[in-house]
Amino acid sequence: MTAIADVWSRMVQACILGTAARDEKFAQNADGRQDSHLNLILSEIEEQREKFESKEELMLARLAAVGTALRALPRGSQSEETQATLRNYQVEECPEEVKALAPPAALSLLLQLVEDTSQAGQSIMKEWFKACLSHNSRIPEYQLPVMLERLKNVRAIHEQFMKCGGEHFSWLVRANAEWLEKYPQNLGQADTARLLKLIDEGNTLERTESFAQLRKLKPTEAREAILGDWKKEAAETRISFMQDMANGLSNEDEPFLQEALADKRIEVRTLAQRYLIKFEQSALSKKIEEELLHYLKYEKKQLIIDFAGIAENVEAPALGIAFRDMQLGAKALYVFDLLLKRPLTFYERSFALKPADIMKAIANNAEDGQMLLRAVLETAVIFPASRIWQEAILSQCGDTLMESEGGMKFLASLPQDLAEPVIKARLPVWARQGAVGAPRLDIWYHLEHTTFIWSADFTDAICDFIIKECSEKVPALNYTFQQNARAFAARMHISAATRIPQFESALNKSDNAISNYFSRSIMQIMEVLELRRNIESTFKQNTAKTEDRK
Amino acid sequence: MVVSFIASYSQEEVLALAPDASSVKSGKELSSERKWQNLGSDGSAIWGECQGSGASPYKASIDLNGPAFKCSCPSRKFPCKHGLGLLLMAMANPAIIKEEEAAPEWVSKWLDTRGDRAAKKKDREEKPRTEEELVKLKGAKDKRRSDRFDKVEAGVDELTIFLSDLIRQGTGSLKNKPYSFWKDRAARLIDAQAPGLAKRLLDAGSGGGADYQEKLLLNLGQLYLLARAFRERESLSEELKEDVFTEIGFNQSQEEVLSRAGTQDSWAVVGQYFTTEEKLRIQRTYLVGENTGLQALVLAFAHGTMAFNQTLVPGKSYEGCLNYFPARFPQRALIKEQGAPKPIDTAKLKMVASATIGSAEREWGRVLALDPFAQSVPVFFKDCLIFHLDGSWWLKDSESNYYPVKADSLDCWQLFAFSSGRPFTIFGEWHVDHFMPLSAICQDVFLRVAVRQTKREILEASAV
Repeated sequence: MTAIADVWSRMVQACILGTAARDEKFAQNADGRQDSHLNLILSEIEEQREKFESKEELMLARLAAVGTALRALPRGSQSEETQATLRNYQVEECPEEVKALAPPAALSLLLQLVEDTSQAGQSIMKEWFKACLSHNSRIPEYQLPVMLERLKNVRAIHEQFMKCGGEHFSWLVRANAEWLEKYPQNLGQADTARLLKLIDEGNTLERTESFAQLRKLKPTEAREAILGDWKKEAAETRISFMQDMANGLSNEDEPFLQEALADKRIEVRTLAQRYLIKFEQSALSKKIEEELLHYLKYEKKQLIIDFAGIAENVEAPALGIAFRDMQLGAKALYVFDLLLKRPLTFYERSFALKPADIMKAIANNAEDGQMLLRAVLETAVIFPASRIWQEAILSQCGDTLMESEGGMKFLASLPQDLAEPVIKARLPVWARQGAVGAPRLDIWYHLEHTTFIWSADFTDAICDFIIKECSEKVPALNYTFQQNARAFAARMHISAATRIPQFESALNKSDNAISNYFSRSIMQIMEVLELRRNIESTFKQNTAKTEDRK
Repeated sequence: MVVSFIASYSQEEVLALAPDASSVKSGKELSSERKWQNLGSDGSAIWGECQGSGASPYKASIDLNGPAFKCSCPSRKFPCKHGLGLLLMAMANPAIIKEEEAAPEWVSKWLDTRGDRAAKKKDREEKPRTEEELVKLKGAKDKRRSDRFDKVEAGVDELTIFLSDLIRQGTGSLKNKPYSFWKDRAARLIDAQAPGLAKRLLDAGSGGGADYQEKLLLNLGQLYLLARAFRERESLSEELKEDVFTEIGFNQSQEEVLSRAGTQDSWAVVGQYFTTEEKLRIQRTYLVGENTGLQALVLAFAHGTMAFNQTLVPGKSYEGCLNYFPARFPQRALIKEQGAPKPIDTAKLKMVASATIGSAEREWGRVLALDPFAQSVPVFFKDCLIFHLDGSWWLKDSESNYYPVKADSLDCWQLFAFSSGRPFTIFGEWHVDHFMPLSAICQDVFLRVAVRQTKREILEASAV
């Protein structure tokens, strides 16, 4: 402690107690150490004691003098330990950037886009990143921290963002522990060692988070890191570890998962089962298939269930909220549960039938056909179905998909070229050439439940419909449309931007554009389309300028 | 004019004019051509009509000489989102603004009023006063000053008694006193027309933290020093007297300051941030003379969401003349003449930047010797690094000395990213226990630190 700080500390003690209780001179340090300048000042104050009306004023004068001296002290000087740490720390330099900066106009758009992390916003941001990549540009380094912070939980766009961040992206992420956790794809070898250490020695949260990160990068090493103490782990930790096993799942995990089937906690057992059924050759998969073949039969061109073979006291599995619309008995639920655990190829293998024939066989079963169809729809999502299967399902029940939750999930899982005709069929009959008919509002519901990017033809058809509806007395632009207008515009083919004037004129033609309940949604569509068009044009402008300069 | 305005400002700089973050967002949203109609410009102003929630559209206009904004919307923010939106849109796409011979009546009326006001002000400034008027004015001023001195003296006496009582009884229990204990006492100092003392007392007492006693006593000591200096003002030098008066809350006459000869230079805006006191917003702008290397602090004040009366954009340089307020350490200045903005000369600024931590410490000591009430001093570091270690930010200078950095974490990360881990030039405020960065220059690029939070908390911390 310096002499000034020492005197100051004694003065603070005296003031806390009050001069009524304690009064002393401060011109010399308690241990005899002296600061000549300070002593001179304090002695001068003491000598002029009579100039102060009270000993309190004298103390205040001392406080002012020593306080000012204290403020003038170099505070930058750190303790030896801190100094040593600082000296030993080497600031890592970022490698030189190769890519050029994105043009200012494009960056200005990006800053606007970052504010919106909704689904629609993410989709537009992805477009920006795509344009940035295709023009071999990058985001300026000084804008990265704000974006890294803002987008840290928007995992769907991390990959594209990383590619546009240049060398600075990885360099910054490595320097910030929180970002490193949120953007784990940037982990290097050194970080793997750190994660292994944390799994071994960290607290519960650190262990589970580190395991989740490592599992994404090095699944085998992650699994082996928890194997040793698996049985001694607390139940909650086991559940958490088991949830993160979903990342990087492979056949190598089977022995571990097989063992987890005997765990004390049902959550662990259920998760292990869910993973094991993904492996066609796992013992569990084989066992389920064997059991299913006892009950499931192909007879008289029908796929039937032989409930007689199922024990009377079979326990109905809890299937969760997604199945609340099904009213099945315990035996049926039991079979249904087993069916969900096998991919659609099981039917082909077991009955030597093509998908289309299996679908017909299901439809031919008047009694249990609905249940079997539902199982097929669900299974086609759990174990992504082949295109032949998707086509077979669509030809069987394409127009009733929205009647069940399984159907909705199946629709959402379809690729663009298969989903579009299903949805297009929801357009009113008059929207097709040469026909007249009432509009069907559930088209918006269909679109809301899908995420594919619209093709040019499909976009055209939907835009035609919207523009036509604007001029109707009661347009079929309902609440679902209004709520999803931005998201729809974000998924439209970019050619829709050429139709902005048509949207504008349709809006102007309607009675009172401002008071119309759907006008805001149409404006949103126009805004998003304009924004998307600007993304590409801002990058193109820069390219044109560069070429001009050349 | 529209084109030249666009050439001299960037979108970021225009957004810096916004009174708050929500205005920035709304302004951006309104920068779409579709939301506007009847857009036009006569060269010195642009205007347009924007459909809002009301039946008739809002009429917004911008005088590009300021820029100054006018809008018929009911918002109390200045500039409002419509003004910002119009300007952003014009900058993004000047072709959509139709060049017109004359502005519509509602725009020309406003421009005329602005012109009249400026002319009246100029008249007032230039019109010579008669001897009699001058004597009368001086007499009234002296009377006002003398009355105020009496009031402040009474307040200072009362404050000294209050401080003495605190020291006699001991400050141990003061941490638990309610806010009203300090506020009531501060209100008496306001009544005594000593707002500077009132603010210091309120700041001293109403803090918290483990080092409460140290901070409190340091501030009480300073308050006593101020009170004593005021009582013995006749024995002080003229400049020190001005420093004491300023700290107590006396306003120095701007007219008087501006009447003196000023310092001509190309003044680069190297830092800017805002603080709020009650409803008063204070804009602190640091300027550096590109030729003289002199530094200056220009303050601007605005109530609520009103606009500041001057536009100084960080990253721009203004040819002009500054007049410093008289002080032992002249720092605060007024703008006497302000030219058109141009990009700052980073090469010249890099030449000006020469500080190391050692030299900054010496400068801080020198400043405190001149003005013991100083809170900070502007410093332009050269070839330094900024880095993050164990939860704290540090500055490392070219002599391998270290000093703590305090700023919003994202600001620090932004600077770190900007530096790429290599030495660069950085400007900011040196405080007694930390450095607060405000801007940086790296490879001839100037970066303004956004300063996301009001620095009140940091300024308070710097008292120790």
